[in-house]
This record gives sequence, C-alpha cells and structure tokens, in this order.
Amino acid sequence: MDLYNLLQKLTEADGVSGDETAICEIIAGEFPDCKTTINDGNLIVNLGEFDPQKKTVLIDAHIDRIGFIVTSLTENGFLRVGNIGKTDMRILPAARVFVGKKRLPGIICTKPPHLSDKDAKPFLISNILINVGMDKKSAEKEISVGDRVLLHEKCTRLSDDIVAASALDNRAGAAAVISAARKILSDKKQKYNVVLLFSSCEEITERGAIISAYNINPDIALVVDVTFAKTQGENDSCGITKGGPMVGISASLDTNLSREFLNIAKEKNIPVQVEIMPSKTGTNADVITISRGGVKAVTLSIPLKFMHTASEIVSLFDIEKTALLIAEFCEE
Amino acid sequence: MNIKNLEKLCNLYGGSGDEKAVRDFIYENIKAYADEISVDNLGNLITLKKAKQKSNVKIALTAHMDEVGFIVTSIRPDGTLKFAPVGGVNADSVLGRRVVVNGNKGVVGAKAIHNMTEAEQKAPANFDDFSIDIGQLNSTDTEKIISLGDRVYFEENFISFGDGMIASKAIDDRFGCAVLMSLIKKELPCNVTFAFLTQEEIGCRGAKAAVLDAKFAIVVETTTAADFDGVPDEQKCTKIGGGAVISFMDKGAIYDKNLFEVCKKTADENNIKWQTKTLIAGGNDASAISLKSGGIRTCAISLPCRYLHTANCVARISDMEAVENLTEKMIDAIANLG
Repeated sequence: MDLYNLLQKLTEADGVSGDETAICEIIAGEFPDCKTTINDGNLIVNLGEFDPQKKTVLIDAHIDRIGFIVTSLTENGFLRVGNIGKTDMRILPAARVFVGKKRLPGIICTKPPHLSDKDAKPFLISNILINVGMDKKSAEKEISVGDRVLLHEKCTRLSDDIVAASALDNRAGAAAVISAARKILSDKKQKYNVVLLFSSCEEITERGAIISAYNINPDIALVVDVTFAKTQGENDSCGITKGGPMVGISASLDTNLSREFLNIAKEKNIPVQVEIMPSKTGTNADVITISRGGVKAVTLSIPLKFMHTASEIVSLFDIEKTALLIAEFCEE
Repeated sequence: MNIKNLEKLCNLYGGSGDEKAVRDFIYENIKAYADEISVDNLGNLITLKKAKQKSNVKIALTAHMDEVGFIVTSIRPDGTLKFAPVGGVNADSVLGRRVVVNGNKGVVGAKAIHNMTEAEQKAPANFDDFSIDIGQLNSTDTEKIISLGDRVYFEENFISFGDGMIASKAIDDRFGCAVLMSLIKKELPCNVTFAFLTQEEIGCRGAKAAVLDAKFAIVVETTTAADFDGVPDEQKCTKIGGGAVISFMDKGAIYDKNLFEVCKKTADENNIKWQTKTLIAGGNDASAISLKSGGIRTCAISLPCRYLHTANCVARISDMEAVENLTEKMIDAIANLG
C-alpha cells in the first residue's frame, strides 16, 4: 500500500480520545507477522524477537483525534457537546460534523446576521448547538449522551505531494511509524529491540503514553508527532512544509540523542529541520521522559498546517523522510 | 420536489457574474419546454412558456442562479491565495472550509489557534487573516494554475440527513431554480415568463437589467430561519418545518398587499402549510422587480433555510414541497385575477 493510501485509511477512521479501539485494530492489521497487543486504546507492536542484550527503543505516535462528546439533547432535538482536545473554535460556525458510530451528519448552528453578537467572541463550547435534523424523540433513538462527534473532511490530495485531511494530527505520525516499521522489518539486523506504541488520549491527558511507557519500560523513546508549519501569520520558528522532519532539541529531551539524529540525517542525506522547544515539548515526550526512572527521548515532528481544524495539511515527502530517519536509527 | 435535480443544481459552481455553468445546465434541461428562450447581455436566462388557451394575464416567475462565493485578489510568495467575498459571506463561517478555485481543491486556513494571543482570539474573524492553500509551495507554481480574478466556491457537498432534511452550499437560490425548472414542464393557465436571474447576491443586478413583459411576478427564494434553542420566537424570523414563507415586507420591498392576501388564501384553500416572517429582515430580487416596467405586482414565496450564505445551508424537504405547490397554485390564482 502506498503512503497516500495508508494515510487515507488512517485518517478516515474515527477515534476521538478515549474511543481508539477501532483505529488500533486498523493499524494492528498492518502487522500480520508481529506480536500486537491492544490495551485500553493503546496498540503495542513488537518488531522481531526480544533480545535482552539490546536496548529497547519505544517509537510513539498518538492515534487519538480531537472532537466533541455529546452532553445533552435540547427540547428541540439539538445536541449540546463538550470539547475533547483543543479544537480550533473559529472553524465551527456552520461546520458539518458526524455524530456517533453511525456518523449521523449534523451542522453546527450559526446565528444569521440579524442575531449575531459581535462581542460573543471567541465561539464558546457552551454556545454550540448541533442541528441533526431530528426532533428530540427521533434524536434520542439514534444518539446517546457520551457519543463522540467528529469534525471530518475527506482525505484528498491538493497536489502530488500535499494532502489535506482531518486527524493528520497525528495519523501522519502514525503513517510515518508504520512506514518506518516496514523498512525495519525488511532489514533483519535491528540495533535495538523496537516496540511501537500507537497511544491513546494524547489530546486530553497523555494517559496512553503514561501507562504504556510504564508497561514497555524502554531505554530510549522516539516520539513522532506533528508540529506547526509556516503559513500566513505564523512566526519563523515554524517548520517549512516539504523541508523534512523536525528533530526536536529541548531541555526535556536528550540532546545527545537529538544530535545523533541530526548526524544520521547528514550522513544519509535526509533533509531535516531543527525544532527548538526551550523547556517542554507539548508532545507525549513530556510524560514518557519521566516514566519509571526516566527515558531518553527525542521528538521527530512533521510540519502541519491548520492544526486542530478539519482540514489539516501535510507533505507526503515529510512523512517519507521521517520514516526513513527512524529506520536508519533503528538499523545496525 | 425533484431532489436529484436540486442536488445537481447545488453542486454546480456559479457566483455572481459567473453563472454560466448553472445557466447552461438549466438551458439544456428546459429548452424543450420553452416557446421562447434567450440569454441577455447580463446573462439572465429568460424563457417564455405560452398557455394553450388564450389569456391576457402575463406572469413572471423568477429565481436567481448565483450563489455566494469569493474571488482571488492576490498570490502570496508561499503559493497561497488571498481572496475576498463576492456577495454577503460572513467571515465567521469561512475558516477551515474546503473550496474549489478554478477547478483546484483548496482549504481556507489561518495561523494555528495554539499560536494566537488572547487578544487575537477575541478579535472578530477577518478575511485579512485567512489565505487559501492549494497545495503549491511557491507563487511560481501557483501562477501556473491560478490567475487573479479566478472565482472561489465552497466545495460541492450536498447531503440528505435527519428526518427529511438537506444540507448544501448554494441552496440559495438553486432551490428557486429547481422550482422553476419543474413548473415550466407543466401546462399553465396563462403565459408565464420563467426568468433565471444573475447577480442577486451583489445587489439584484440581474433583476434590475432584465426585461420582463409581465403584470405580476412571483419571486421564488430562500430566507433566513434562526429557529434554534435560545432564540426568542420573534427573533427566529422563520421556522424550518413551518411551510412556505409568504412575505409582506422585507428590507428591499413592500409586497403587493392584495397578492399577499391572495397568496395566504390560496395556501389555506389548498391545505399548504405557510408562515410569514417575524421580522423585517433580508431582501431579494422583488426589490428590483416590483419597480420594473411601470410597476410589476410582486409576491415572494420562500423556503425557510438555516445558515444561509454558508457552506452548509439547511432546509426541510416538506417546506420545499410547500413552496413548489403554493407557487403552482398561485399561477392559477393570479390567472383568475385577470
């Protein structure tokens, strides 16, 4: 399966935080010959036999996506919701959403000009009403409190290399890890025991990474996620789309490990960018590094435009190069 | 209501002054039913359907073909596009939408929410902060496929959902076009001009230019429904499921008092659900048509519609049927007025 098709498959799947079982199963299907374990929304994949002489590398990509959770139905059949993750609220007026496992379409209410209150900024979660086109009685038959609500647009290519889709944060990272694993599996000589973690709940508590890092107990962790790409209004420290993965350097990461990645990139001619995050990283690395006696970690981030909207944008080139860099690190 | 035809109409791209795709589609589908058919210099498609029996009454039925959209104003060095609305699109409902620019897919984007200051987050949405990403990484590549002045539309997205509801871009006023396309196929009691008009969204300019040989006009339109929780009844304007909207006055026109009464009576006599607006709000081609040719007696029959001028207008099929039925019955009623 080529990378775009893989990305399409991953981004079409649901999996708002706390509801990751389906996406775990989809990804597990990519590893028919490996030991896979699904635990509480986390998928753990062991690449090859465990060798006690070798250090263990955990490669993490979170697989949960932002969305909403139904909190109540109004007397007129509209839904009230709560936030899961930091959705960009600016995209919500008149946005199309999908409710529950059946993905019932809904439209977020927006006030027409004669009612709009220019001071009612920002668009607050408490003001959101979702129009599902049913009265309360019909809606109650189809929708339950606790159902997840997806912000979802089809995965599409804007150009040969550039893809727009929902949940590229962090299905783009997951695609890079899956691609890297394929490369590692096709080369029998692994320098490390490699364990993949497709983790749950990064967007709300980082719970998946916390509990799984404890269970896996790695020596080294590579945290693969997305980061801000430069676009109108963003500052110069953002990544350049199609500039290659961003290798993180941060007080909370292991600088020697970061340097090692930059050296590999130079040696193997893989384009990379440096991402400086002075204290913490805002990724699962923040919790993995302080797990069970501490873990040395580096972040590898794919530049992404329009984070936490329904149409995030990434470059396939950047995902491929991320996979290549990971594979080069893991191979003898 | 022929929903399949409405879906085709809504999924076409045609903004003010760029209605060709819509006009061509309508032309091809109605020419067999028209006795006279022509396109004027402003792009209005004017057709005459003659009655079998002789009648002195002349009625015009109008709907506008244009939808709200945008126009490319400049190309940024990073290959993204700056753009401005054509018609009344609120900047609030534009960010994150999928769009089509001259056949190319794009996304309306801005700085990530994470990187905005509190003051920036509280500021009203502004087109200046948005750009369209079409997947090109520099202006040279973008210029190969995009020219300044190219039109931008919300991507086609028609769906049926819920209990007999639809959501789509451009229901305003492809719905009206669909009603006219359906009625021109019927046998009519008097001569009826079916006028598919241009440029309504930028000031009813098609209607102003159109030559309409008629004493009466029925404008078939969409109108605002703000009927959701928390909105006081008098502010809802109209309600989804409340039936056809018969206008007495809006911001553009005071409607013919007598026709307003005939319209209500016709609806009642035929058991067609109807409502009036609870506010003096909105406006449509009636503002121009009622002033034409020494005065045309005009009424408007509208579809209540939520989230007008966004990518997801929402309407109910039962209301569409009410508008279509009432429009047909009103042709008969006006023909009898003589």
